[in-house]
Amino acid sequence: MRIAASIAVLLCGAWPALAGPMVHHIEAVWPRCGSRGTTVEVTLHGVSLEQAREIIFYRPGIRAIELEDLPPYERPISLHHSGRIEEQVRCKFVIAADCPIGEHPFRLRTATELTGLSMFAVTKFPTVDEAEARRGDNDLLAKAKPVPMNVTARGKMDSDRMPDVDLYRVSGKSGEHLSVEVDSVWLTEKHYAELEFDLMVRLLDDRGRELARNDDSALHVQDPIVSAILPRDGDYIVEVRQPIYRTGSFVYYAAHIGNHRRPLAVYPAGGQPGQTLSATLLGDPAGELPLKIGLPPTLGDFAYEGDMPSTLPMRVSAYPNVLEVRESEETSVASLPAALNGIIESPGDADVFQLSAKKGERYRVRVFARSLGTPLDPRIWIERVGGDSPEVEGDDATYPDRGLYAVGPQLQRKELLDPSVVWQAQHSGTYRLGISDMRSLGGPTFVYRIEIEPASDAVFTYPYSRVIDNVECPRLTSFAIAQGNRWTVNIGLSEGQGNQYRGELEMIARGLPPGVRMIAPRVPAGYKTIPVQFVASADARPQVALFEVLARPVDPAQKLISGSQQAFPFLGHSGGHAWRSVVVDRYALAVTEPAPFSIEVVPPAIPLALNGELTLDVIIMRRPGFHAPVEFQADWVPNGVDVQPTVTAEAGQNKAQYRLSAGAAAKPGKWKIALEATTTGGSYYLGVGRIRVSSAFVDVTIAEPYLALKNHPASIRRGQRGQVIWDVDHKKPLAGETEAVLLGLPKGVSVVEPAPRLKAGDKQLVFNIVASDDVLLGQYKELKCEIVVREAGQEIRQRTGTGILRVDPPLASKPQEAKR
Amino acid sequence: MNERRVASGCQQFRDMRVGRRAALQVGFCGALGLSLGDLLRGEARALAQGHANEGRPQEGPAKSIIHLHLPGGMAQQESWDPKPEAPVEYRGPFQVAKTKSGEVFSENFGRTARVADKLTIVRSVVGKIPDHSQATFHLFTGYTPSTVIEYPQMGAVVSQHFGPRRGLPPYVAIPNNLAYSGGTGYLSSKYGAFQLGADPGGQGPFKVQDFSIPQGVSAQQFDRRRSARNTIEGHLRRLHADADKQNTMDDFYGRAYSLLTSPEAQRAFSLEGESEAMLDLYGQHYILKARREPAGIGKRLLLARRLVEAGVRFVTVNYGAWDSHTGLKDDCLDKMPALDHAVAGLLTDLDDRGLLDSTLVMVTTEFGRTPKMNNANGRDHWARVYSMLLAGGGVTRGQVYGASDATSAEPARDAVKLEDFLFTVYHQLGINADDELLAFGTRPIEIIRDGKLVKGIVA
Repeated sequence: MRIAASIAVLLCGAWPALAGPMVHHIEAVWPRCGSRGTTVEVTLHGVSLEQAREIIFYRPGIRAIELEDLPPYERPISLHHSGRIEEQVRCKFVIAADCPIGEHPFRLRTATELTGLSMFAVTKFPTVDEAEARRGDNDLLAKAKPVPMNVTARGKMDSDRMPDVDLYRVSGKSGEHLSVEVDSVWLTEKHYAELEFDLMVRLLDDRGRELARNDDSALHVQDPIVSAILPRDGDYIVEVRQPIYRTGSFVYYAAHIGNHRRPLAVYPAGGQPGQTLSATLLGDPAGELPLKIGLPPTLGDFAYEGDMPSTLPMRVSAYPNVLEVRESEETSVASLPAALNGIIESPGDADVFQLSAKKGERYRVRVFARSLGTPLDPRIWIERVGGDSPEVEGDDATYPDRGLYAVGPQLQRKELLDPSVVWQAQHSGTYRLGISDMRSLGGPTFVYRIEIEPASDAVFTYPYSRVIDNVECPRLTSFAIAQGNRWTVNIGLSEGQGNQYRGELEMIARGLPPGVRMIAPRVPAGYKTIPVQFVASADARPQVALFEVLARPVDPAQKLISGSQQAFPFLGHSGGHAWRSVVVDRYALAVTEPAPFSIEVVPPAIPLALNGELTLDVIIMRRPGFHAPVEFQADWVPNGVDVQPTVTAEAGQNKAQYRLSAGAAAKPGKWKIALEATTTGGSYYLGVGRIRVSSAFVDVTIAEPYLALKNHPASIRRGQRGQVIWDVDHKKPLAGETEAVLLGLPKGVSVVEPAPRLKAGDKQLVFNIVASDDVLLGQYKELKCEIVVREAGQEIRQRTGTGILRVDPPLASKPQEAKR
Repeated sequence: MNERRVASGCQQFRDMRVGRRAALQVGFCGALGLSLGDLLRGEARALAQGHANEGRPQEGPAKSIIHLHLPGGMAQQESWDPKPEAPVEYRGPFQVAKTKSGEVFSENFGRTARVADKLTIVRSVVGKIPDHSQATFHLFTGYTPSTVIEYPQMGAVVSQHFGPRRGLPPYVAIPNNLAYSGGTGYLSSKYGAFQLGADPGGQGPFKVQDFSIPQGVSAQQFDRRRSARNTIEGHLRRLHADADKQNTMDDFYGRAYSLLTSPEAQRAFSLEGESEAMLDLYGQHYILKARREPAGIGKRLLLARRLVEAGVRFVTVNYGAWDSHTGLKDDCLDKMPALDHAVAGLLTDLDDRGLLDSTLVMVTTEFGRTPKMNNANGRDHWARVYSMLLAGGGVTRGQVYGASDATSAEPARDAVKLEDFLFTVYHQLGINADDELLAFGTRPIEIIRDGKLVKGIVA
């Protein structure tokens, strides 16, 4: 690997930084992986990393120590879509001997920010660096880099100008395995990239004859995985390359080279908690291997490691396994819930299970095949024995169906190919559940597992963010709370498959660090997002912790499953079609050092009328020495309410105003609204480089309007005077006289001053108007009236009515009498 | 490293920008593969095919056209059609500037508002597709893209219709032909735009590639290169029966080389001799903060004026990236002051020189933007109603034509289909856009299908 050389190349190719929307905190982490039981020096590269304080990992096994700000880059590096590398932080990752292998998401807390998610990987093998000091150093057989068996080679495709081939020489013995898997797509932390990360691997003998190759695999998708039994003692070559040349930089990979077995599937692919499962490993070139696997006590996904450098996905379920009876056409299922297991062993096969159900019973039937990395593309059907047609069929699924509530629809994940359906039995009796491959394919590793369990009520939470390319947007979803301040995040709510709960919800937090509390308004039925506010006390210690936000029914008698989820794309394309996405089940919250300002919204003493506007007074409380501009806006308002775009309180300004408007469809009632404010440096769109605070919630009441106006269609001739008359329907009594403004008049028609004023009891509102000689003739249909009511020292603007004004030509002379 | 430099905007607009950049990378001969020699050769052939014998077609009041295009979709609300009375979520972040006649533009166009008596704003243009590539093609050709027929750009039609004037290429693109704007379509490639391949408003010295001896090549070497070309062409002449054609080809390159040293061409294709006051009139010092480079629009428009003054018939200029899905306010504050200054300067300058009545200035964008601000402080694509600017060339002075409704969602009055808009521009040039041109295979195709003259726009 040639990190230093790479940096030099990058610098030579740098261009002036662009301000733009897709600025992420961490753009590169070098090296990309480290070995268990070692301490690795790691540098993080990106923007807004200065004053690094702490790193938090989502999984156990790694500690970051000795964080140190390095000097910023003299010439920033520009990346796709305005991403930049300007700063760097050095630290050490202490990797425990029992650290789980695989990917480890983490974030960095700085003095003022919590960075976006980035990734580091842990391997069970010792690492060796490719160290291709000069291009072509390891591109030929004779120059292949010697490496020991059971090693992880940390390499880089230097394909930014011409194709690169990396060759490794390893000694093996006759009958021994040579297994290689290359992590490239899976390994990256890069936000935007193209096909350059698609690598392939070939195993060659010392004369260059190919023993085996792999480009893509069902288990690792774009990343290759290959295994062969060596024919004789001697040297062998591992070749890593792009199958199709594509330029690109930062194309790092980890090639795990070992003499371990490399099965591609396990059968059955799951069992019950704590069970010692009798299973068989499938797909290894040496054949099947029966073994016992001890399952953990926790339900859900389980990763079986064995002696492999990457794991095989399995499941732990609360109910017993039912194994397909190969000799029988149909396998009986004694009772539900159950986990059905089988293999579609040959093309065209279909497996059938017979089960009993009572009319009205609701089950969630979720298939695991592609999710487990097997090649099966499953479809299922459930039909009553003797019935005419299936009661339910399933092929592809949606992400929420698969329990991936936070994953954006454009992200690419293999789970979508596995069906997940809710089946409500329409009869009592015996049913058949069938499964086959959509493409009528089959094979020894086409393993599936079907989990059938009662459908449950479930609502899950995720930080709500809808931004370009589905990228993480700290502006909206970062839980970074300045000490002694507050911040508000919109939490999205996603119903679990089969959920039937429709009532009000309340939100609770679990795992908040000391000194931080959450304030969450009750969630009205039907609402899919709700603002949740976090308050850090003045003495809350700067720190970072993982926590959950859960939904629960207001009525404690109701049962509801809940959880938290957040998803992050990597290797994205414009449009959000990322190759790789990472999903975590907790959120990271940081208490950061004090912000230089806080804001307060003056609770409005007056309501926001339907079809009206309400101006909120905002107070910016600046710490001594802080004079910079502050932007603020409302990121959440109730349905039917709209807001003005971001408002900037200029440097030194301590007071500002912010307007809300309510449409006719807004729901009257009392709502909690907060304003979010930021400094103006850094990047607006994703919010990197900004300090954020929010106001406390204030109650905003949406109320019926004061009055409704009905227009008398009017006409006016050029050069003449006329009137626009509105009938007034009072809904609420007006206090005192009220201003009225006529909107939508064409150029050349104006109101004759003084404009009319309106008071309680007035039946009509009459505007005297005058038309110029050159006003355009025609009909103007968008007249509106704005009423300005002053109450409790504040101003309510209400728009009402829709009027018509026709502009006619002047009368040239006395009109002729109509001819008879 | 080879990271792609891509600015903001939606995916499609980013892709378009890549396309345009790709065109630049292959240089002046990029999208159409034309050099000046090719162009002049084409022009002479056009004359030989009939124009010279039949006499020039009758020109309209607009003898030349400067087409300033704002790619990405500039917001009508923040430019020519503000909605100060709309609800807050529609209104946008800016106040208004009043014209002398009492109309309002966005405050971003205060200078243009002061010269509003020279122009017509059409506030009721109706496009078809809120899609960058298709809408750009539609605007430049009058047709939405088809897999069957490639339609020519308006500049190519003008080039084909009138041919060169005073020895200058009839159709020039500053700095280059815009991606997805089409090309010469079913017309011969000889009618394509002469692309400068250099930006008069850029950071480096401005040199039009065909008019400059390449850097690092001495005049002596250049002469040798010319000799080498003569030798090859002479050889070809001996090999091919069509000696006339080869001779003509030689002639075209000869003309290209003569232009290289022709003082008139050098002057037209440069900004030499322009005073500081003139450069200031167009606004020469604006810097785009987002890109940290000069805005350049003033110099582009000044060069466009010099070109039409010298005889070029159709000049396209493009400026900025207006796909403001996010951060609309900052985008406007960054790019609009230079645009406002340059447009006002151009109209003032043309009028002062007595050129405005014979030069049609057209400021376009492929579509407008959504009535309501989105939650990222931007506006998205909107083709149902938007605004364009026309001035000179017989267009009514001091007029706002048509209107959008209260939130700029639909036309409220005098809707102008894009085809009608283009038909009217053709009309001012003296081209009846109902006429048919012959595509290969002798298929007649109307210049604009189903277009009509918008009488209210022309004086």
